[in-house]
Amino acid sequence: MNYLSSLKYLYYPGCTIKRDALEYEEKSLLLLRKMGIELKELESWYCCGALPSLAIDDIMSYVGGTRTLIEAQKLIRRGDFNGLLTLCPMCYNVLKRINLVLENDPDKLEILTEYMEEEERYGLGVNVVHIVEVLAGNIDRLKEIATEKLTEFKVAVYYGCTLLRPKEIAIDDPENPEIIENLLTSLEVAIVDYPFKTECCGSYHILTNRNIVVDRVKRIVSSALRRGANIITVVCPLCMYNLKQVVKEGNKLRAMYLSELLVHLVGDR
Amino acid sequence: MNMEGYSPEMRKLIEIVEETRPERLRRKYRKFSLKERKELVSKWHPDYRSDTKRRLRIGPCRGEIVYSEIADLLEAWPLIEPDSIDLSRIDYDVEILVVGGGGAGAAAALWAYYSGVKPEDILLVTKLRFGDANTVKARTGIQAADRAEDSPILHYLDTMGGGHFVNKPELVKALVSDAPLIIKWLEDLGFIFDKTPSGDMIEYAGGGACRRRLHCARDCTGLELMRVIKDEVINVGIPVLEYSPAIELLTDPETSAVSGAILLNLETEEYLVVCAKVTILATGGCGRLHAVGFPTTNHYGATADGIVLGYRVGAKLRDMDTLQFHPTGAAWPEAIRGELVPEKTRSLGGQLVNIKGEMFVYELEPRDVVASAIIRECAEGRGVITPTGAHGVWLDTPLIEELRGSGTIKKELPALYRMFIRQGIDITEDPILVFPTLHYQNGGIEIDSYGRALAPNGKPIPGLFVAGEVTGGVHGRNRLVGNSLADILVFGRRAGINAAKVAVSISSKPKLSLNHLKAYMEELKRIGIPRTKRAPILLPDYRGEKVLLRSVRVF
Amino acid sequence: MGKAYEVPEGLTIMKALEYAGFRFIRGSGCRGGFCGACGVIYRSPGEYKLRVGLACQTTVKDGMHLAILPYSPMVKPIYRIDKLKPDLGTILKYFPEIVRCVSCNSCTKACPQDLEVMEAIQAIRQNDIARAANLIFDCIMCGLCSTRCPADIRHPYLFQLVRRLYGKHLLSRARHVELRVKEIVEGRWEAEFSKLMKMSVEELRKLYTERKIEGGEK
Ligand SMILES: Cc1cc2nc3c(=O)[nH]c(=O)nc-3n(C[C@H](O)[C@H](O)[C@H](O)COP(=O)(O)OP(=O)(O)OC[C@H]3O[C@@H](n4cnc5c(N)ncnc54)[C@H](O)[C@@H]3O)c2cc1C
Ligand code: SF4
Ligand code: SF4
Ligand code: FES
Repeated sequence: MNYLSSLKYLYYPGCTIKRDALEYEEKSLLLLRKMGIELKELESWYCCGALPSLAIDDIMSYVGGTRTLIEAQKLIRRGDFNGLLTLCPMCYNVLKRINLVLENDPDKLEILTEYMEEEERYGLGVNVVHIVEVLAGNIDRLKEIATEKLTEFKVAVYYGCTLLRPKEIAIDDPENPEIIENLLTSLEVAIVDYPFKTECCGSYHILTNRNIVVDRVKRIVSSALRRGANIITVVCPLCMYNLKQVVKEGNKLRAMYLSELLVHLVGDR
Repeated sequence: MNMEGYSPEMRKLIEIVEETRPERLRRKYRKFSLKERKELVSKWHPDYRSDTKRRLRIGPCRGEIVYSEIADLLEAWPLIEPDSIDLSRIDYDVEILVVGGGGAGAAAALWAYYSGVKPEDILLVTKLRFGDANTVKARTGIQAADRAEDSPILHYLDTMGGGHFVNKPELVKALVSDAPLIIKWLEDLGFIFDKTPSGDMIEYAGGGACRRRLHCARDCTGLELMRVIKDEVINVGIPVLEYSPAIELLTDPETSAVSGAILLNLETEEYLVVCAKVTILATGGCGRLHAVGFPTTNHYGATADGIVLGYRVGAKLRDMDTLQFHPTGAAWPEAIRGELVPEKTRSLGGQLVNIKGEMFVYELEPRDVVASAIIRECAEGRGVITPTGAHGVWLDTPLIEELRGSGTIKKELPALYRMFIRQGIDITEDPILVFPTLHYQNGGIEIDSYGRALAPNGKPIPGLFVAGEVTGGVHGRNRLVGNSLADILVFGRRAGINAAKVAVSISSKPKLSLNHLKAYMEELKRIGIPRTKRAPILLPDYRGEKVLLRSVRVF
Repeated sequence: MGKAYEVPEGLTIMKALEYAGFRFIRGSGCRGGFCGACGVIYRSPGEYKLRVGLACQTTVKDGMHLAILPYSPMVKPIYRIDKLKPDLGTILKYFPEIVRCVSCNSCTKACPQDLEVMEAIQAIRQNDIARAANLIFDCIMCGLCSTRCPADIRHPYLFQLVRRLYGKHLLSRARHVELRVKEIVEGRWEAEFSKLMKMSVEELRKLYTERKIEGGEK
């Protein structure tokens, strides 16, 4: 136990959290605080760029993310932060990928530096982490404060894609991740295994073709149900939104953010 | 040479100001005696000099004294030849025509709409873009007596006193009783006032007011006002015609009622005919006439067109022998010449100093006294002449920092600081050059409390409402700060509501003629006004002399 | 503009053009930096950058190349402010283009009012209407930022909506204004007014000079 060693992260919320997933943010911040992990929200932050240009490899789509990384870099220089924490897997994915691309392609970094002349240069190396990594890395702290049990529930873990692909930035084995299951098992939560936990939920197709999403989510959900799950837990606001196209209030299966689930274990005060 | 900031020659002059600063820091200039004040003002202030004005030789107010620049406009030929205008082809047929896209015009259009006139039956026409107006430049605030410590009665007294007690009482009563209602209306529209977290207005003191009564939107109250009401006019669907000034009103040949206007499309130069049951004139002020050669704080289109149009249909003018000159307009750099340097600069302790570094007036004398003293210094050769040939005296702004501690200017005068720093001058370190600037038209077309234009016999001119700076009577001979924004909304609103009532009551379509103009032209001919003198002028002409001398008109 | 003109030093671009013989119809409004009618796009000698600014606020320089940009074409959406909810959802309905902001900061660099335009766009996307409204309070709606924006955002109208949502729905109302309006409508001051309006100038002057000034003598 090292409660004395302080754990401090910068925090990047991302637009989706601020608009559509305020309860996810609230529970996550509460959880981390109870675990003794300190967060400081960036003073200025920019859209990571996921929405406009996820698919296109356009250097302009790196500008926002890079600005955010520079903002973090400035603060890290002043205080000892362990990294930049994200809640939204999409933001995690984009920021982490920008780091990767810029590390491997100095020309791109040059162009960006030129372009953002009013900013300092990005020196690479801002450690972008997702909340799942931080939770998993501090299971001891969680165990210490987990006072409740969730005996009557069986949980199916749903990862989605963006925490696991591409594999260079994956938080766990992209084919068979177990990081969340391990976390929950160690807190004595019952887990069900099912084959669709890394299946894509349909993502932004929800905007253009709802049917694609509904079909996919139905497959995911019915599989989890067949294996006896009554909770499906997620870490992504978009996955949550898509799941809720099928999983409604009062269903046998409830969709719940991982943070919310954990708050049930540690109490919400 | 860099023309932003100060030239080396000017720097030398600044050194003189700096040399006398320590001594000046310790003393104030003595106040003038009443006799001295009177002498100074009557010799140098344009309002009190006799050579700045003359008697009108024509029209409903023949024999009255007005500023010469105004007389020149009234004694001028129209832009059109009545007989060459085809009034049978009507381009716009509406219930209510609003002329002027400033605060008064926008408010009139909105309240006509609120009173039940369909938006498509209203037409708002304006000379430049909708909102290019004096309204957008108003900075300090808007008066309304809405605090418990204050009352409409006190507001009434302040306004009458400020106007030398010649204001029209019924108009002042309307102004002060409607002003709180206007504030509420603006809140409803989403106007961002300076407020405490609980929603109370933060109100400021203004010259001549006995209570803190100025409601502000930071230091760009007029900008916020214009933005909001313009947005609303467009949202409710009132059609707006830009770059189409009215160049003449129309009258019904049978009833003599005003029945619309002729517009000029400034870009194609074609004329347009508007038939309207009621016309609301809201064309604003006259700063761009540069009366007595003064620079101005006014927008590009402030050329007194409404006065000309109204006078030609028989409207009575009042108080056109007085104009408000703000004592301190910027004199340098050229980019901001004539722009307002607020009074607060002097109340914080900024002294006025001539080229020799001497004080020549106590900086907090009344506005007309300060203005006169500055004019005198420059006329008698103790002013500074700028590289572009303008005159000015120093306003010692760094003194403020010495008197009240560094940081005072940025805190108390942020907009002024920004205005100068953009031009390369840091007013916390260097003094600035100022000269009086033409600010506001105190008088205008006389109205009653319904907003109707009056003829010299005191009867309303049918079909014609007037609102805003173009009117006379509300402020008497001098307007208080913050009373104009209240005025334009109070009377814009009244004009809109009452115009709507009138429009509903008229069932038949009015007929169109320019008969009034023909009569007016007879008079012009009789007193021998040359045909080259024409009005309204619509826009000032700032072209260089060389170009004008060589101009060949082809298009 | 493909022609060279000689003008005296120290003039603004606007006054220089006039001196050279141009007469503005479009492109000149308040002449004091408040209306945004006079956008201008220019390059200064020895500078590779294309800049934008206000013709009435920018001093001409020798060898400057410029063109007037009096208008940035865009359509204003129509809405009823009282019917709207002050949140990002409302704004996205009228200005869906804001999600395309790539944080390039071109808008901020273009703004003659030195506003933090990009920060404001991001604040809107973060659903922080109050912060955005305060950041762009001084906007003169010149649209110069929009001419430089790769995401085709209509900043002037967007910001207008944001400010009105804030002013209408998020700022608290002034109780004392409402009370005063009620008093006036109920005729609370009528009797005093009729007394006052019958007074002679001398009587009024006496009242005027004797009235107490709040905060004492100034
Ligand atoms: C720099 C400055 C600061 C000020 N500060 C304050 C202050 O703090 N508080 C205060 O109360 N007052 C202030 N004033 C005064 C106040 O702003 C104006 O008096 C008021 O806004 C006038 O409103 P208006 O609608 O009557 O005229 P304007 O706002 O000038 O509008 C008139 C409109 O009519 C148009 N027009 C003109 N001629 C024609 C035509 N022939 N046909 C069609 N359209 C035409 C004009 O282009 C313009 O759009 C200030 C004025 C200035 C210049
Ligand atoms: S934000 Fe855009 S529209 Fe507003 S003042 Fe700045 S550049 Fe002009
Ligand atoms: S210019 Fe457009 S895309 Fe670039 S930061 Fe500004 S709003 Fe975003
Ligand atoms: S003319 Fe209004 S901003 Fe330049």
